[in-house]
Amino acid sequence: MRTTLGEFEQQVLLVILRLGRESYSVPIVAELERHTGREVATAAVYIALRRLEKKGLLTSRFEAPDESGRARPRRYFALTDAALEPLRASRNAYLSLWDGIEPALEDRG
Amino acid sequence: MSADTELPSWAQVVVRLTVPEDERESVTFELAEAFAARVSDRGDADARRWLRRQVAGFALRLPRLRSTSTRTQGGGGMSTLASIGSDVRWAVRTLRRRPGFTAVAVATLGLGMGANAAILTLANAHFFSDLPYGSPDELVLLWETGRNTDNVTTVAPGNYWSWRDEAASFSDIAAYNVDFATLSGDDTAERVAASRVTPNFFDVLEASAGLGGTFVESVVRSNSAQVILSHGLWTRRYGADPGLIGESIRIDGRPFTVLGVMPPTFRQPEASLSWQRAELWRPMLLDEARDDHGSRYLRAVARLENGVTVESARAEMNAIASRLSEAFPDSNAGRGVLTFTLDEYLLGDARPTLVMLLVAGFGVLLIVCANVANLTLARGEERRSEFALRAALGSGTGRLVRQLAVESVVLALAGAAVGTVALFVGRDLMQSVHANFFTGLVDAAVDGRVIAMTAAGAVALGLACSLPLALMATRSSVREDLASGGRGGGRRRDTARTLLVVGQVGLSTTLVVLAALLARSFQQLVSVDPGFDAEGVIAFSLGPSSAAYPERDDHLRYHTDVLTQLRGTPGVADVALVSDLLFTTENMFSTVQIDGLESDPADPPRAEYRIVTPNYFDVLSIPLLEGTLPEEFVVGDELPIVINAQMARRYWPAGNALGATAQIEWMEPSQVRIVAVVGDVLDDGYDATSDPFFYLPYGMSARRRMAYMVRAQADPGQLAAPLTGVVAAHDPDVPVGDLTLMTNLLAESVTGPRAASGIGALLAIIALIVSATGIYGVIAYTVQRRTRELGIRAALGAARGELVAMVVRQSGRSVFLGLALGTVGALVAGRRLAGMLFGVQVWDPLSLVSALLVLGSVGALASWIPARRALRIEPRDALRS
Repeated sequence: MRTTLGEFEQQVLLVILRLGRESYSVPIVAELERHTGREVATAAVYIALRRLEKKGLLTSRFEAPDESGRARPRRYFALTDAALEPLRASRNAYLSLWDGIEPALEDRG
Repeated sequence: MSADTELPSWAQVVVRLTVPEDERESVTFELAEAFAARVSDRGDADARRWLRRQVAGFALRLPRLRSTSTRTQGGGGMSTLASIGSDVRWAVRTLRRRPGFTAVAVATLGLGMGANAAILTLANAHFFSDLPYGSPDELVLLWETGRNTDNVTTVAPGNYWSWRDEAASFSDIAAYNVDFATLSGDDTAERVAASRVTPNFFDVLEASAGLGGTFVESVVRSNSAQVILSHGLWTRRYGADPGLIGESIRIDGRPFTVLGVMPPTFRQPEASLSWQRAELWRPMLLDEARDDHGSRYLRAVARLENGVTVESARAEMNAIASRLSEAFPDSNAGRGVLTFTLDEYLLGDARPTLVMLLVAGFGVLLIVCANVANLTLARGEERRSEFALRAALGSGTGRLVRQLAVESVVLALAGAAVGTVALFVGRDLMQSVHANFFTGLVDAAVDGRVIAMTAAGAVALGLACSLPLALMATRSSVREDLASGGRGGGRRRDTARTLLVVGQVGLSTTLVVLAALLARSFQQLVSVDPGFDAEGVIAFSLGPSSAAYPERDDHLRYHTDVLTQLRGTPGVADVALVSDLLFTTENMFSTVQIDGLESDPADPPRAEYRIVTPNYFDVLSIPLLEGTLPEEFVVGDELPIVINAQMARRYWPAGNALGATAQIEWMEPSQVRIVAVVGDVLDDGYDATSDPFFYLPYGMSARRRMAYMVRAQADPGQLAAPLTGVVAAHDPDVPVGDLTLMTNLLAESVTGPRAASGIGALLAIIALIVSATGIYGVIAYTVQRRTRELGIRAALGAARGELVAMVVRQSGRSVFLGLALGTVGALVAGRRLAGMLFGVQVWDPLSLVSALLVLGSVGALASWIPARRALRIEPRDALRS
């Protein structure tokens, strides 16, 4: 079955991809805000992360606090191989849609 | 980056409520980490604003947060809270799609819930409001009893001192009296309710002044010309001027220093509204009255010593009272002491009424509930297929029931909101009902508790209303419903519906009958003949001060002069003098030794009396039954008195009162002769019976303060200005007090019963509307459901008239059963109501018959109209429907 991605889900996946191996909500939110230039609702990010996990595009592991109390309870997310296919498909779709119309957009802007 | 910054607790609460349990810990810490980063980057204020937005984001996304959890197991991953949230939205959408049904249901619920919120407000003020004193549970009121009776009597100063010296149960006892004071000075003179209090009065009550201070005994001893004002008087007469403290004002012609102003909530611990609202307090020391055990004019309030119970205090006071009886037999023989808690004395009377109202309110709610349940049920029938289908598709029974319950609760809450808003709009009316009928000591406010109780009641009501529908929904079987095309019958459901009709009619009948009884009581109450004609009479009182008119002859002359001048005023038909206005609470009593009547010397005949000019009976149109009225200002060695019919009946049962003689010890001369018998006057309000009463001729007996009864030739209201003008021209220092139309005084005396009956009448109307619509709704619905059956019968050749008759007969059976059960219920419940009824029996035929007729007709119409409508449809269409 072909997996479709919402725009926000796509952004979240790309951010995790940019951040490297695995990441948790705080840097994901910060990176999203940096790229989109607007405030992002943490709750929305959680929802997207979970939905993506349900679709099998992300895996997560929970890091429990250790006894020294130094480590924080965090949930780390990483992309699965399955995530790459829909991202690729989405990118191709966008690129082909954009093909040849960028000058028109600049003219009107 | 430190994540040691904790989230504020409110944010933690929201996270806890919105985020599934297994995620909570990490979300909380991650959010705290981001918050900490924000604080160090952009400062505390900015970070907090950000946090608020973020947390709001969690709250707004609650259902999605719940539904996307991958790790929570069971129940499809939905937490209760989240799915209730979605149920609520579903309910609102469903209700919005059926505005007609929703409007009717919300209006009905609003009516019922509003009435209940009103009753709750009264009960709340009554049972939960704090009286305006510190630790009111420790306060008791002490009264003496009458000789060999349990009647409450005021306290003699000598006894007060003995109690104060001897009783160990109390930390302190204060005494006070109630009277009137005249404020004069730069402005117009004004007469206000006032009180003289022992200096410890406010300390015993633990009531402090809102402004300034209260009395201190040592200070009072050096200067007793001090006064404390009520908040109302201070605001009204002195413009709430804080500079008034320490200033001098004139009271009864003498200067007094204003010591303090009491807070607006302060009330005197009195049962009567006018004395509760005393406007000023002056100190009294009672030093000279230490040995006076005979004149009773004080009230006493005491504070229990720590740990002492009311019972032990009562026992101690009884012991002291019997010792005082022995020590002062002349004044105290046969007299006991009554010890009341504030609750018992001030609030006790209202308890049964309130309970009754709460029960009545609950009854209205039950009817409302039955109505809404029926309405929902009717709608439920339309939705049977929906339920069946949903069940078949795997929707759990629990989920379905919950959805219906939520829908019903949403409706009830909307109704509660409508009711509460209505109550808020009418809160002033509520307040005056409460002050007049229950107590003016505390205010009946629509507060958080009432709103919370109403909301909780709405939830409970909603749940109860949804029960029948839920039962039906869970019993729907797909096969049955798909087969019957959604018109599923079944004997069990028919029985349930019959029971509903019977129950609804029965409950409605009981309630409407009871409410009708209350309404009828009111009608009786206001149509009682008070024994006099108030129309066209204006009254006021004049009390010349003892400074300007020291002797008896002085004020006697003042009153006779004013009387003469008033009689000459244009527009005045006649003027009479009387010592006390009708309907004033404090009447004068006297013992009378009746010649030739054996009586117990310890308990001689007693009667109330007034001092009047003989034309008093003319002016008020009180009928002269026997004899002739004495001359005005008669002088002789025998005192001619007039008695009322009740006194004649009581002491001269053989009818030989006229010409009889008696002795009134304190009169001069003490020998009195009965020269006339007049009609009884209902003096203590409409609901009291008249007591033995006699009238002394003004002149031979006198009082400083006299009331003037002026019968006008035309509109008495027009006379107010000329009359006060005459009084002021005679002596500007004597203020006109209690200026009022007698019709107003009469109306005021029924305020209390009117309030109670008014509530009853209102409940009756609500009950009637709600019951009638409910009965109509449920019967009409059951008939309507038979359209198809009736169509078949008509197609098979049954005559329409016969069919209609059959339907009416069949539902008539349920209605009749309901009416019968309801009547029994009304008679049983009515016994408890008997105390609130006036001039109406519990089995009052008019109330019963009219309630039965109205509800019975509604029942008949409710089956007749839909039956006819059903038969107007072509049998072919009916079969297809």
